Amino acid sequence: MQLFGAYAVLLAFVLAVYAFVAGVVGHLRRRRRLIVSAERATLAVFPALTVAVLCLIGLIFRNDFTVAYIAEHSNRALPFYFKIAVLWSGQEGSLLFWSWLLSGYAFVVLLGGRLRPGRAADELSPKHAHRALVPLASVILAGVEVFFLALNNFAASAFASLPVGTPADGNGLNPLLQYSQMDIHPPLLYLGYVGFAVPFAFCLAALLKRYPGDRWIHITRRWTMVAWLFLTIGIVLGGLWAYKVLGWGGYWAWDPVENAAFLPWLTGTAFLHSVMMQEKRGMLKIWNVWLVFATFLLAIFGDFLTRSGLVSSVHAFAQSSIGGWFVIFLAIAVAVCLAAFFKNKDFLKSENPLESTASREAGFLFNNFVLLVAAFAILWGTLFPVISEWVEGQKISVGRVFFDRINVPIFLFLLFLTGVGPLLAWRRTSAASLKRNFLGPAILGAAVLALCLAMGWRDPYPLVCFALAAFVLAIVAMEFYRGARVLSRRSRRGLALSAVELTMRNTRRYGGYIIHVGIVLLAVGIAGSGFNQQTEGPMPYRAKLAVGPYTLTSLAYTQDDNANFSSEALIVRVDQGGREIATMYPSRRFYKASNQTQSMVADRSTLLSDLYLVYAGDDPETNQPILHAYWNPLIAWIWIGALVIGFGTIIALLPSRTAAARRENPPARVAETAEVAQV
Amino acid sequence: MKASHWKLGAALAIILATFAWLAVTGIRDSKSYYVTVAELKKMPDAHARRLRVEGDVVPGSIRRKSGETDFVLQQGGVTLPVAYVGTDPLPDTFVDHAQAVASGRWLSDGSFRATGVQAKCASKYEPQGVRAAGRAVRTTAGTM
Amino acid sequence: MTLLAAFACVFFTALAAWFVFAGDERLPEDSPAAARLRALRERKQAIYDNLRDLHFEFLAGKLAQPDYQRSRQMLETEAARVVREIQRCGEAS
Repeated sequence: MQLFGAYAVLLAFVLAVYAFVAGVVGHLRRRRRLIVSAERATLAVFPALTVAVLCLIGLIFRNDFTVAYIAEHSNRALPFYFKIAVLWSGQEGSLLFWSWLLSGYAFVVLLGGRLRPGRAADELSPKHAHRALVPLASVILAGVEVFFLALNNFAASAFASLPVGTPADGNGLNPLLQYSQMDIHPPLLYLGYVGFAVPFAFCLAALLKRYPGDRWIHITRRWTMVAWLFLTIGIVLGGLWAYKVLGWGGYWAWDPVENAAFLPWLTGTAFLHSVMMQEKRGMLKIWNVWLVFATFLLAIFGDFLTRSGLVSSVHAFAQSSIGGWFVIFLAIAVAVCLAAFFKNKDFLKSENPLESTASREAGFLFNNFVLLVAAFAILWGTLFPVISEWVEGQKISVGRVFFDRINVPIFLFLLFLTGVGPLLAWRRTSAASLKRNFLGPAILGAAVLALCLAMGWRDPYPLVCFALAAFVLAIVAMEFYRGARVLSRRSRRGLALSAVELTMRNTRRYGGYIIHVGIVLLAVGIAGSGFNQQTEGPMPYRAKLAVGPYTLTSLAYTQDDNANFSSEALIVRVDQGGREIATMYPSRRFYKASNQTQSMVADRSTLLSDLYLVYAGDDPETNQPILHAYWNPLIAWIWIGALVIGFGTIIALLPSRTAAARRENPPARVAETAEVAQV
Repeated sequence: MKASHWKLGAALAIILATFAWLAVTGIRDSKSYYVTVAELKKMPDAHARRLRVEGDVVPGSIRRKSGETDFVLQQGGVTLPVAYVGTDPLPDTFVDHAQAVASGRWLSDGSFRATGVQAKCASKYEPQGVRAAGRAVRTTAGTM
Repeated sequence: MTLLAAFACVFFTALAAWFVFAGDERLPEDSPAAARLRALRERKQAIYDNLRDLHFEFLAGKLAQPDYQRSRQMLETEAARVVREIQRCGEAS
């Protein structure tokens, strides 16, 4: 099976190389047979890699420790649901997994782009337009696959065996990864990262072909949304994992690996907004193309940062030699982007100028501008040690203070735009419209601000955040209400039903509003950290510790043992206002295969606050257990917000019921006036 | 139309200037020099700077006291006593022999006052023996 | 076992090669004129959608009367231009 797996990876590589070379030659020389075979080869990479991945999974389940990768990352006693995670828990396996996902995306794109055989496609249909782009896009995807498959074959093979002998048991999976969140966080994150290759391929293909019309931008947007959805959920799950597992009471540390995932998220978000300018007004085409390019390049760069050991990070992979490969690939990709851009620059001319600062266009411009400032600042901060070493010969790193100081105001400003942007009219908004739309929400925001001040809170950022949250939520609610009112008048149905109908008619806009609600909830959850409290203390029997509104009492101590790990737990009673509300079990585990100790956080989460307990070990002198206790208000809203964002994105991905809207409100009148204007 | 371009440009410039200022002060207030224990002792104005010092934890040197954890970092025969006074619990990977990074300031009495500690259990995250063996195989993968 | 694996390898290589070269699909040829016409139709559709949106927003009470009138006029002028070009393209082909 090991040999066969290695063979399948090699076959995939050969197929990808053929697809790329034949595709390039076919497009240059206009050879139909070559183009068709190249496309089919791209299609075939996916089954080949699926076989390889199945082989590796099979080997993992058979505990075949002759394979070096499995000996390093698995062991016999590992539960089966974590054995799946072995696939992506190390360098070699995760690269194979990455290639597999990429080929899967290519597979879906190619199948989706096929026309029904035998039916002559209407030259003017959108489907035809899509089909015309797919061959070139598939060549570009094959080019990206060649790179990753080269790594899989020649730099980091997952199927290489140990040189001598077979150990009786493997080294085991890193205990930090033995959590359910870790079972799904990496696949989702990778689906996000890898997914940006698809919009990149379509965007580059359209540019190279000088493809007229807007169809390619629709395709690019949809695929960006898919990747963005996965990346968003992946990032938040990463935060959830850090919070539940690492035991320092937080979820985000501006670690280089976190930043690496956040960078393409920022540029991708910027693109999803500015693309509307192109669709609606034919503006910002150059900007959009570069945002798509940048998002893809940053995704690859993030992968590079994680794997090369360029910047030291707590959870980066080990330093390895594959960094050089990434540098070469990135250089080639940047060169291709630049060449394609300069050769076809005139194709991206803007059709309309910007007219006013009080317009939706200007709102989008500000949104994009600050998103990019954030991306640049984060990139700068992440690479600061590298840059300073070049310039000063001295490795200097910047910490939380830098990232927080610049990003908190940026995101508050973005939150403000989240509310304001959708209410500004295209082109220009008059003072009358502004007043009509913003007076109510602004009053509500001010009321919340006053309320917070009355509560005695003085920390400015959370205050502003809560006020803005109220402002934005009021605006979104108003949007749904006003739209639903129009529909319900027409159809005489209830408001709630009309709101659903409204959403389904324009899934993009109203899905977008739902995403904005999710962002607001997430922001509220983050702002809650301004009120965090923490304390620590020795907890012998009957000892007490107070945190937030709670009193903790140490009750007893238990031990447990199984094949994978042994554990010891503190039993802690939680009282609030003199009444017992819960019993919690912060514990420590000792994993036998990997010889590592791991603190297991006990977290009691409610909508208002989390009580988060860490058993930090025993005092060596007194032998008393030490307990760290954190009180984290509102943190649950971060995870709820992410769920809402995911829901909204799925809504936005559904096709709109525009047909119904078109029938009810036919453009015939418009056509008439158009003809009148023509005369 | 021209006027609106000016307004927009001015607004963007103000935003950019604000964030540039935040960035500069942010760097000033949080930059710390990354050095190994040996480099620290050679650094001229080390006492005045915020530092991140990398070294290995000397086995048996970890002493937990109330509100403080003392340990010794060493690298290439040079040692540095560290007192960790931060509020977060120490990471689980912080054990004897671990490769650790302490961030804080170097006091003039020769001890290091750390407010943050990161640790990587080098021998276990990437098992040296297996790892090296794995590499050896990769170069001769053709003969498998 | 090794023999079986070797056999499987040969079989899959042959299968892949057959699959890659067996296809003989006709690729849609995009004449520049058709592509241009399609692009114009897309543009027209986008402008009509904008108009419909604008009207809906006006009904919902988001826009003051003068804002609505001006935006609508601009969109209609734009639509007229596109419609005219579509007609010209239609005549040419």
